[in-house]
This record gives sequence, structure tokens and C-alpha cells, in this order.
Amino acid sequence: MWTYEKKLQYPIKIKNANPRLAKAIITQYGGPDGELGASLRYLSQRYTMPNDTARAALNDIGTEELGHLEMVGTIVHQLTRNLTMPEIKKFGFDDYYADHRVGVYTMGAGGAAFDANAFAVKGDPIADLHENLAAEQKARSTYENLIRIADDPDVIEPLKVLRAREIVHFQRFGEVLRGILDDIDRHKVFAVKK
Amino acid sequence: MNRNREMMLREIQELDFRVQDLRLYLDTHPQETAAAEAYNTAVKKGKAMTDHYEKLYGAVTPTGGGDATARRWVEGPWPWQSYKAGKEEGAYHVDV
Repeated sequence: MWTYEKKLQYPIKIKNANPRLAKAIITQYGGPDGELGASLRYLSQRYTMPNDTARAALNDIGTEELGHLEMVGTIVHQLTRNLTMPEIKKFGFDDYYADHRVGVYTMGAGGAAFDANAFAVKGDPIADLHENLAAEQKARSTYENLIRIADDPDVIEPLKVLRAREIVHFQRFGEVLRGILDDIDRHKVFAVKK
Repeated sequence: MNRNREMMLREIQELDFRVQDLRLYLDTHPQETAAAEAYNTAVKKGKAMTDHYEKLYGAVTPTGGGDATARRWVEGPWPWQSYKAGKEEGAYHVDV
């Protein structure tokens, strides 16, 4: 069960439209390493986690990622507000406009629609946690690419926050994985010959 | 959104961020006393600040803000909206 909180995790207030930049940032909305995939992957994987620490971490990180999805959607929306048709053409936004106007759609930076394979649920806690460690690094890398592309501090600041959270999540997943591996080791019994 | 409202919301966001980050930390370090204390302090401060904000500016969650929320929950600005040149975004056309 979730309840909505009428606020963003981090404030976003973008003054200037930049639809070309929005088309790159939208990849963290519905791209291969985006927040939608991350959130629903963790929330789906949590059912088959073997201990309470793992269940809690996946539940709570999956929930935070939903908040990040909202932040990325907000950035895309604020970058594409209040456009005129000449601006849409000038910024190369006409292809996106043809299908979605200025709606926020789940797609990657290249325009490919969201692929549910991003949810990657193996049902094996070790495999799933390694998947998540890689996913957090890929998302961190994507945010760094976006920060390099962006030239507007209004956009860069929230992107830096989102990048930092990927690193924190990576850290927590590492601790969850180590806990599970330690538990497995504890159950190994070595016979000692006398 | 007036200046005071924005500043108060920002403080709530800071406190709730602290809660969120400590929550994840405590998920994997439940025995750490200092983190648990910091978490409890941030939760209490966040709640108090949110209560205060909700009395002035309306609900943050559907169960906050008292009886007025029944009717006033729908009122913006919603979080993805912001203000341009002192005007609410709603005054701008977003569908071209």
C-alpha cells in the first residue's frame, strides 16, 4: 500500500524550456536503466528475498525510486512547458511531438518505448541482487552522462541528487548481498575427522 | 507559491530526506544506536513541521490538514508544477 505525498523528494524549479535536453533526460523515466524499471524491479523482487533485511531494503529502495520517477517526470515536463511551434521545430522536438505532444511518455533517449525486460526478476536472491548492483551503477553512469549534456543549473542540481542516491542504493544492496552470503556460509557444515 | 510556503516545504523536504536516507541505512544496520536516534529525531521534527505547514497551506498527505482536506486536497500547485516569472504554471498553456 502506498500513500501519496504532495511534494517532490528534492525541489525542482526549471525556468527555461529545453526540449532537446528533455529528450535525453527522458531515458531515466522509461529507458533501460531508468527509474520505472528500477522501482518495479525491486518491488517485484522483494517477494522472494530470504530475510527481513533484504525484504525491507528492496521495499524501501523500490519506494524511493517511485519518488525519483516523479522527479524525472517533473524535469521532463518543466523542460517542455510553454513551447511554441517554431521552438518545437528549432529544438528538434517535432518527432516526439508527433506521437506525444508534450506528454511525458516512458521511453529511452533514442525513442524506444519502455521494455519490460528491465524488470529482470530471476527469483534467485543472489542473481537479483547482482542485477541490482549493476543497475545502480548503470543509472549512476547515465546520470553522469546527462549532467555532462545539461548546461542549466536548474536541471543539473536535481540530476546530481539522483546520481548520489544511486551510489547510496548500491551500497545498501551490497550490504544486503553480504548478509545473504554470510547466512549461506553459516549453514555449511564441515565434518572434522578425528 | 509564496516565499514562506516554499521555505517551509524545503525544510520538510530536508527532514524527510534525512528520514529516507537513515531508513535505508537502518534497514541494513538495525543495531546502530546513533543512527536510530537521528532517525527518531528527524521523524519527530518532520512530523511537527508537516503539521504546521498543513495548517497554513493544506494537506501534504490525504489524511493530513484536518477536515478541510476532504474538499481541498485537489487544489494545486501539484509538485510537478512550478512558477515562472511569478505566475503559476497553470496560467501557461502546456499542450502547445
